[in-house]
Amino acid sequence: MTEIQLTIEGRKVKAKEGDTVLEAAQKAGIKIPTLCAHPALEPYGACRLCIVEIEGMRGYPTSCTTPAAEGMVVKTVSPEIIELRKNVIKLMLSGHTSPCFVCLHRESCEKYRPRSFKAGKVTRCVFCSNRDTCELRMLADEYEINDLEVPIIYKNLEVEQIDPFMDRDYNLCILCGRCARICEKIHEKGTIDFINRGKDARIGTAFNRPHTDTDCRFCGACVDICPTGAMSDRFAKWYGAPDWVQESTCVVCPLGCSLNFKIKDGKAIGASMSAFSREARICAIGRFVLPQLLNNPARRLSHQVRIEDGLIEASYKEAVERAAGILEAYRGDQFALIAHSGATREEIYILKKFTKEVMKSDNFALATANGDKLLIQPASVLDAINRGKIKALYSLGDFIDPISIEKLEAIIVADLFPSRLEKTADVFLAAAALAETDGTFLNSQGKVKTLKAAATPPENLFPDWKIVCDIAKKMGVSGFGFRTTGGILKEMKKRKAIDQEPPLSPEPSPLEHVDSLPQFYRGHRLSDLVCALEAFMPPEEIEKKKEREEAEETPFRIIEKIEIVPNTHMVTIQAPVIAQKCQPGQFVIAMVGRTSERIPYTISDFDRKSGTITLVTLELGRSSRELANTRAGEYLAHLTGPLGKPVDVKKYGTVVCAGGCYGVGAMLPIARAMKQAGNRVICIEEAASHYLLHWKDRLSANCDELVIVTKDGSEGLKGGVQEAIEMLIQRGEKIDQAYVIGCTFMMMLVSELAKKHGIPTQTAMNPLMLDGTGMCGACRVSVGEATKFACVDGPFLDGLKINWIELMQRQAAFKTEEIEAMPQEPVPMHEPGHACLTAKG
Amino acid sequence: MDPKERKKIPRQKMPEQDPRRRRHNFEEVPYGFTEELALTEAKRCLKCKKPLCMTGCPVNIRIPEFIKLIEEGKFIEAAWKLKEQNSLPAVTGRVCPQESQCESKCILGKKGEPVAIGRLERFAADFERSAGKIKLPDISKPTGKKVAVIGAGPAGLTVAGDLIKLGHQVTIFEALHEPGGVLVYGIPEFRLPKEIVRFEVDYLRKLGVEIKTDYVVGKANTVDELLRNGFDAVFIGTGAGLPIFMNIPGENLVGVYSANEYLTRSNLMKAFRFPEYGTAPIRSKKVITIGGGNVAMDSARTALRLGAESIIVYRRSRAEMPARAEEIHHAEEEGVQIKILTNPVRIIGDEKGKVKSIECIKMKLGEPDASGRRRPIPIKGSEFIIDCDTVVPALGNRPNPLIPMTTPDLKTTRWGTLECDPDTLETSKKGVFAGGDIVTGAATVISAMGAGKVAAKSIHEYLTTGKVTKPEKQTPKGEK
Repeated sequence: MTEIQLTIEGRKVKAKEGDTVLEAAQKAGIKIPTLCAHPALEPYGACRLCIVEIEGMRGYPTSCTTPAAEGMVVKTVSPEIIELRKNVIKLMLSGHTSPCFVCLHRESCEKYRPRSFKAGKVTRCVFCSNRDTCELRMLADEYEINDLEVPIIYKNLEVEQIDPFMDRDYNLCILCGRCARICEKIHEKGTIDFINRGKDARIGTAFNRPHTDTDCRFCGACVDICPTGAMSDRFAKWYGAPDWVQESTCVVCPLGCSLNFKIKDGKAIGASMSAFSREARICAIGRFVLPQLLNNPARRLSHQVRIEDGLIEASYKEAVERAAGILEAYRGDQFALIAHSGATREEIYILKKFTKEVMKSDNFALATANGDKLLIQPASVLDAINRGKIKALYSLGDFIDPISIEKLEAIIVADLFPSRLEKTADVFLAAAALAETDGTFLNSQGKVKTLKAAATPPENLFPDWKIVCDIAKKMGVSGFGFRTTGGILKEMKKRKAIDQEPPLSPEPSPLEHVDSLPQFYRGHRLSDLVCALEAFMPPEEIEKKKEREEAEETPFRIIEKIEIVPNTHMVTIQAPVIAQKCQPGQFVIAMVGRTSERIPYTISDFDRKSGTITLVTLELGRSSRELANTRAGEYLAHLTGPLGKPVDVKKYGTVVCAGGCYGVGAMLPIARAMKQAGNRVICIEEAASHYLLHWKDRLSANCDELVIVTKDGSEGLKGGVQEAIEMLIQRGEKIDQAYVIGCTFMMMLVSELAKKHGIPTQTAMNPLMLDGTGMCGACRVSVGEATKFACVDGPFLDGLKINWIELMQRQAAFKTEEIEAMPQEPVPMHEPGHACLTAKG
Repeated sequence: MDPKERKKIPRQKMPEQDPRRRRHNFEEVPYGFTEELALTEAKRCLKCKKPLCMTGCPVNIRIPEFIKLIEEGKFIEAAWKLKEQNSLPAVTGRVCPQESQCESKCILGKKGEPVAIGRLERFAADFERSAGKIKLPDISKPTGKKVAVIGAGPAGLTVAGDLIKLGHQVTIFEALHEPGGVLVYGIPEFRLPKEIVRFEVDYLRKLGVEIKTDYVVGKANTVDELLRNGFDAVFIGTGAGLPIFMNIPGENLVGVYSANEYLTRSNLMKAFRFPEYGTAPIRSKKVITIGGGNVAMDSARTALRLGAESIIVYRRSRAEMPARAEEIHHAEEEGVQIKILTNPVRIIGDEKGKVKSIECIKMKLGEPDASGRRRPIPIKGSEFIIDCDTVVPALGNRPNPLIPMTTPDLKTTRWGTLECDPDTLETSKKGVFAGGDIVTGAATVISAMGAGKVAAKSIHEYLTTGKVTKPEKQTPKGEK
């Protein structure tokens, strides 16, 4: 290939013939911004960010599609280029729910809210799981965009949560086409592509079918290559950007594919292909299931030994000692060990050596999964168990059925999950595995693949080779003093014990179709452990699922359920007792299902005559999602109220009622009551952008003036409630009392301002609560020197005295658990009529 | 069998889960008597002519009679006998402090060990339940009178059980989503399986008691409104549900939970089954529980089961601990460490507002105080720090003020409890009665049930005659 030379930014740069200008620049370390371009993809020229000036060429060619040529003189930066790029970015932001970029409070918002909210729909960056790694956001920051001349449009497309493992929100899509192109590149015939035309153009499947109805293999390449949060990994998304990535090997099936584990706080939260190429393909198990196995709630995290009563938790040392003590009595052919085909070469070697040299037995078997069947080879071992010849078993998984188990006298289990063997096992050793271990693996292509310990195993859990070595040492047998798998490999080489036959490739390949995905790991049916796999393979326990479906009839019937604006849901519920008694400012506690949390919701409206109350909630996690996903005609399991103190309704003079998010609804009854009490009422409605404004008509009808304020300035004033209050003060308004309802961050900012101006301000607390009647004290709030219970002393408390930082810290007390609680099941599409109705006006 | 032979039989032990196993699960600790054990234990009872044990029972169970039925192998009949006086025998058999009540009066206890009355009570009730032979008692002719019971805790359930049998119509109003009060939110599964509470509550439903859960009287309706809207009498059994904190620095740090919250998450909300249940569990490495009562024991033992190291800090000495000896024993057996004569001074947090340690001071005992217990005095300069990530103050509860606040003519004491006639449990408001912790301040399940019985009797008299007469002699209250 001929080398050419060109000049970029005044520097002589060498390139190969056939390189694009972009590639030439990148090789020389000269940065040109890109979005649609990706090293794994062919030039595309869609986003036009990589424009440059080339001497002798008209206009601004895209460097990703322009071939580099000998003698070319390229300019990558100029005031014109910067201006053009800024405009390109702004146009993208315009269609990307981006009010956060132009928000006056962005800096403090990100300081006080370092993690994004677990929103059902992303209506701005602070709700986006991809906030920390969004390429568009990084570019916008690089180009210092803090003002948009173009309007921000919310496309209002339904968020797709219908498929296993991934959520798709095309409202965030910037049409770079990376996903469609990588899909085509990896699978030859892509599952997704551009559909519709013009302003309706978007990414989708043919006929917009769910991915499960296409030949999508759920390799996750589209999710991993997406520069924005449009495509996301349902399990991993809320943990935030990984701290680092480690290449390793998947051992669930004999293919032994390479993959990259994404590590966050020591946990493997995700996995992806090691490269965006057809050769590096992985299946849904590698991409999505492995992290859910390691972080599975069913995982055994402690070792156990049997006492008369049953298994009890034991230290690692105790468990090893007990196992060694038991195995002492079973040397010879009365012992068998069943390993699994996902063990590393080092592990298999050690397990064999242990069987042979410590236990003096030839009964070493390997359990392999073949489709939906488990095979134990050689079959003679299982035979011997069933004939009662084998008395003691060391099992690395759940391979044999209860009838065979009954024949055994002693059982040692090393496993990750609850097993049928536990009923009679003498010792259960919780093992570290998959992303937590290292070693080598001979795959079905005869290649030796490397496993790297990337994730930190749970405390005091060790990989199988170490467990067995420790047992052997305890039994006083030498030759098991290995400290690392490297040491084991060295011995294997010395003893020439590594000429192993590669295992057979699974047929058909799981890389080709989801129907042939591996179904077992260590004898455990994967669909029993990872609910999203139900889409491809039936779980063993179907009862559980049924239980989820049947909602009991209760008095709390849902009359109406609408998504008023994106991610903001209004639920009207039959609750005559509450409707009869509730006063402005009070709240209820709802449990959507019988296993739900008790969650407080402010009463946004009530109708004493029809006996209904209305709640407005944002979908920001499991519990609010449960409420958001209800339908008219269904029932809430429990609803208690009215709770808390009503606001003190009397004549103050001028009263400001300010609200944002769910608080817009919540301020309505207060405004109405204050107006009826003869006050001059000014309502302030804050929203990030125009597409989130709602209930303007209802508020207008109940106040003297409605001030609209948006973070992006797309309607009304630009800014937040505090800017609106400042405006009122500046025009000479004397505010006698303020009521502020919304997120804690907003209320804190407003209270700071109110303090400055000495405006008496009551803010609506929304801390964690259990009972809501003063019993648990979870809702403690420091107000000045005193501790108040938000449930009985509030919800409205003196904003000028609240310790806001403490309140925010207390609200975040269960942050990790809240992420773990996020449901992983696909959610069916909203039925027609329940689709998002964007209420303008 | 002559008494001599009976006296020779040793008190039968109740088999229980090995502490090494149970400290990591929420299954019930004791397995209960087997039939053989129950038969043997029942033989120990001398069937005294003047049974002193009954004087120790707040609900006047006919103890020798039910034990005799057990001895005769009439287990179900024994349960029915119990239920004549006590609507929740499976509960009280488990949570009553028998050692300071019935069993403390047992004549056998003078020289040796008393009859295991509580264990026999539990056995009979469990036998009846598992046999499924639930006998519904005869219910008197409807009186046409309606009674509202506020709070479905031990007091309220007892009142409801007694009044429904007398032919009155009873509606219980419960603020939480499950009836049982402290039996469901406070007492842990391993001490009182919730299935048992549910069963006992269902029994009341079968008798005709209506239970409205998710209903907060004082908010959704006031006592006056209940009286206006067709109820002829009201019983207030709202308990003591307002947690007491110590008012020391750091109490609002993340990681400080009232015992009520700590236990409610686990018991009522089933956080130990998270994420199947939505409520998050409190995951800790080291939990310091402050206090020496039964609730402190329950919290500290729950901490073990949630996987933490568990330490109790108590300011007086072991002798002053209000917890039942059996609970302290169980806690220690399971691995709870108890630091006596130690009092927290402040809780220390990290930069994220989370608990990282607690500073305590050593105490010594001085002269007895008003409670009769020796007063703890701090030893100057003896402060020390214990690293921990969770602190659970279990210092007791004050009465919930919701009802008194919304019922203007209901008189309260300076402790926030309701003023009642101690013999009739009539409040300062006509037709309104009260009992349990809302009257006495935080006490025991059985004392609340005892109060329920007294109140039920008064209410019945009030409903049938329009007035309440004081009993001639004081009802035996168990302890002198």
